[in-house]
Amino acid sequence: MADGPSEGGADAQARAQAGSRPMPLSPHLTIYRWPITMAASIVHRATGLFMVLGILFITWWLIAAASGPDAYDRFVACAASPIGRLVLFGLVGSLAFHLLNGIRHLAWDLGYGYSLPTSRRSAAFVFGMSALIALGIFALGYMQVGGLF
Amino acid sequence: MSAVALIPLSIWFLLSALSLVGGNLAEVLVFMAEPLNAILMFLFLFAALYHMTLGVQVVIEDYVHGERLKLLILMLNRFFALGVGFAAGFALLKIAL
Repeated sequence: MADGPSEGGADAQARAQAGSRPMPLSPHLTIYRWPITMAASIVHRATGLFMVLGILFITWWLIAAASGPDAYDRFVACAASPIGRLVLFGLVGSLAFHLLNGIRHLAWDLGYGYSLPTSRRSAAFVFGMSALIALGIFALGYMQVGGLF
Repeated sequence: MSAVALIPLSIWFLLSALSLVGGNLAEVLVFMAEPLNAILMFLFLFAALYHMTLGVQVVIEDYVHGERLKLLILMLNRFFALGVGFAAGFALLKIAL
């Protein structure tokens, strides 16, 4: 009699207090949606770490070029392999994202774009634009090589 | 500061690398024999490695607890950047000169 959903007193009261919205259910991690600003922050760190691999790739490229044609051919064979292309695509995308999001951070440092709607919009812009840049760079690369394969 | 420097430098590198896609070793050697390209490549590598060291250091400080382990990994982080920097710098000098 004192409790139970049939009575609905406490529940309805709480709902009324929260302004007609149901109270939030916290432990549903599987349906939790990341705020885009948080996603941008995490992806910024992830792309930065991933690009350590990119620096190693560039170093390998330079060493291979300094070592002679055989070493250079081995590098090119690896870079042009399907896995190599996938890694390079990831690296170009990471660079584009990290660069654009880095500019977003620099703008914050200067005091611009701090409001929540603005930072949401700039985060969405960075995600969309970096994907477009990565696809564009790869399209140009494929055009230069003369086709897909 | 390295972040600001890397805005033009990384764009330059990306477009330069794109222009060399599909080329052979001779084209790379001609590209790096141009002093301006070699200098920009040096600046790009230096800024990128410096930026990498700072960034990875923040990650280490965030996730590694325990002072001794943290000190060790922070040291490895710097040795790594120095080692990669010398290796890439030497190779670049060799093909640029």
